[in-house]
Amino acid sequence: MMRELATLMLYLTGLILVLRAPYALGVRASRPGWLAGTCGLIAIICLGFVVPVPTLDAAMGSMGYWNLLGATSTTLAFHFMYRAILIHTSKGSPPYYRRVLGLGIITYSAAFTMIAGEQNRFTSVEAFIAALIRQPWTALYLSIYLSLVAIIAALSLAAILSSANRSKIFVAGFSLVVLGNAVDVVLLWMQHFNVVSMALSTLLYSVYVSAFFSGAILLCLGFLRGSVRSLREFCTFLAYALRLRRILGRAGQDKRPLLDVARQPKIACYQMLIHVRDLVTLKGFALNTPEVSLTQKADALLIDSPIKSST
Amino acid sequence: MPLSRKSRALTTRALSELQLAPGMLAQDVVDAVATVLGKPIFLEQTVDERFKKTTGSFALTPDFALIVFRGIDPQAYQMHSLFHELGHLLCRHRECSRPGTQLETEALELVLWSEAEREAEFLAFKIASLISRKSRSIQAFG
Amino acid sequence: MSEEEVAPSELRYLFLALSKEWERSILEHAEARDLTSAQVEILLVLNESGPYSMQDLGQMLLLNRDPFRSVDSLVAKGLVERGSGEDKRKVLWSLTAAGAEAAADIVAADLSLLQNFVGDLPTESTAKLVNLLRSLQGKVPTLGVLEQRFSAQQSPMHEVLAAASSTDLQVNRSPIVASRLRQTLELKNAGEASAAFAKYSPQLAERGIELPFRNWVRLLENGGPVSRHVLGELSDVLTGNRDYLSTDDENVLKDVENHMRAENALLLAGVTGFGGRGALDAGALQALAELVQKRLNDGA
Repeated sequence: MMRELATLMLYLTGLILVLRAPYALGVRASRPGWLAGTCGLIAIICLGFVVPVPTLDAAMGSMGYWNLLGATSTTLAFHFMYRAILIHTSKGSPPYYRRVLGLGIITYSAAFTMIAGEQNRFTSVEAFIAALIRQPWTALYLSIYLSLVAIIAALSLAAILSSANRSKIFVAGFSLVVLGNAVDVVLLWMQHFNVVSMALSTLLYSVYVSAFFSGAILLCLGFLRGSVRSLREFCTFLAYALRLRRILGRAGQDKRPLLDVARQPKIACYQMLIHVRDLVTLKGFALNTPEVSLTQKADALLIDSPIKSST
Repeated sequence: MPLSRKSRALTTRALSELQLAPGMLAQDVVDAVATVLGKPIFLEQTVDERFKKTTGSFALTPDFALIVFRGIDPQAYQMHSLFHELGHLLCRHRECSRPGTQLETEALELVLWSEAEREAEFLAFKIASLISRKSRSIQAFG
Repeated sequence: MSEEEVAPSELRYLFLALSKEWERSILEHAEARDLTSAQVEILLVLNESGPYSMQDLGQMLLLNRDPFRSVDSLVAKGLVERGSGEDKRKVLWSLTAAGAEAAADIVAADLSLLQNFVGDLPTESTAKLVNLLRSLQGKVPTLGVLEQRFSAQQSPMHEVLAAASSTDLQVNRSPIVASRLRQTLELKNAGEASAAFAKYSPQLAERGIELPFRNWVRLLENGGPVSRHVLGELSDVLTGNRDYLSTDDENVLKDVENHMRAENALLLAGVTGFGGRGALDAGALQALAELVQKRLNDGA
């Protein structure tokens, strides 16, 4: 199941990266979202379903650092997601947040380096855990990492819940991540102290995988929803702008460069609509029926609320 | 549209006085300009035939400003004409003269024929683009 | 002779030779009326900015500062007439219709002579010559007088040199111009002559036209003499239309007058600034004035 969920996550994060790249390049507020996607993609790659773990490990010096890279990437993915949520909800992070984040990463990284034994023989996270969970450093490493991600997810959830616009998809996503990680932390310590049966261990692990990955997928979809909306708006205005450009060409006016139109189609659409209306109103230029319909639709698209006379 | 250096400085200063936020409505912009002007701005929607070739106009008195726009125009065009007149008020234009005889000058040419008209038209487009920006909140995900 | 060399007395005699020849030509032209140089000058000054008292007239003349005899002679020839009053020092002297006609003829002759003298020189050279002479005049007391006399008759150099006749360049006296100017000032509530002058002469000065008050009064009373160039500038300042003060085109007259009436309506409504997008013709201005008035009434 993990493979299927991870593969779906891979496609979703890839899509986020591609769709959001133009915004991330031009708009500062969009960058955390894009970075979340980038880090998420790295984290999924470190699961070993795209690039086999031994190959990944070999590229990193065969010290097992693929594991730490995966953990750090996941942490950072949630960190950037949290930053995007804060921008979206116009909130600030608690004063202790950066310290907790920094300390958490340093602590679990240090714990990882203390784990004894060769790590270049593992082909998956499960194999790593199964072999080394009895070591305290392993349990510490994993539980600090999972707890840190859960804390960041909880902070994100709190920000969403305290805002006016409580997106259900984000509430569900972050809740599931918190739940999944909490279950996994409990499971890890039970495994460390060897107080869990195989059946219960399998069950709890399934709960963790389902919860965490479902949550992460919901978060990706939440992200994508905004991007898709934006992309749809971009394409709509681009289509209208290109048609208005044709009308201006028919009227013998200088056509706006296509690059300008493609860069900011909404603004280009508005400016060309005004130009067309000026030609109609002030110069007596005649529009044909489809052109009239186009200008009316463009007008409705651009303006939400009418202007009223003062009383 | 090309503006002289003096016009660019004037329009930049005018916009900085307004502090336009994404998502503002036209009425919000009117209120912001009224605050800068220090007097109320009344809007008048008209269907008077005499405004056939005038998409919008303004009159300034010691106590108030009046902006007239045409009820027959589509919303975006009304808004643009409104913002054009607000541009005149922001630039403190007193009298927008016209060339010698308007009989030979097309109404369309008159929209940009003087520096004052170009300043107002530039501000109209600029105001529209500033208020239609996505807010930071929306930029996070779209 | 080399252009870099000159004899000490040469320049004076160059000026004298040229001005003598020019005067001779003008007098030859005026021979039918048997006029002297001093009388010609008096006719021109009275035409440009009369009437004058004898004393004030003397201040304006270069050739003869005591014009008493010359004026008497011109009166005898029916070219000048006296105003009422016993004291000859306070009486005002002005041109008769024949005198105005004679003055116009002399201006026409001056134009023809100017074109003959400098017509084959490049326009820029003539402009330089005029500017040099004006700057030299700064060293003698007469400059102020010449500026006063000729500022209302200025035209662009190339127009002067290419004009077929002086009527192409100038309006000597025009009842139409006078009446239209007065009507315009009335429509614009410009007030009396001095108030209107105070309002509009700075705007003319911005366009490089320094119009003396006397000439302004002449324009209001007689519609000239004024160059078409200055008249066009004045018309533009007052109405935004260069042709309004002198045109016959009914459409232009109607358009401009309606516009002025509408602007006046706005001003009467207390409007201190107005403008619009598009044509903003007289109809739109009138409608705007009505809306302002309605708003004022609602407020009251």
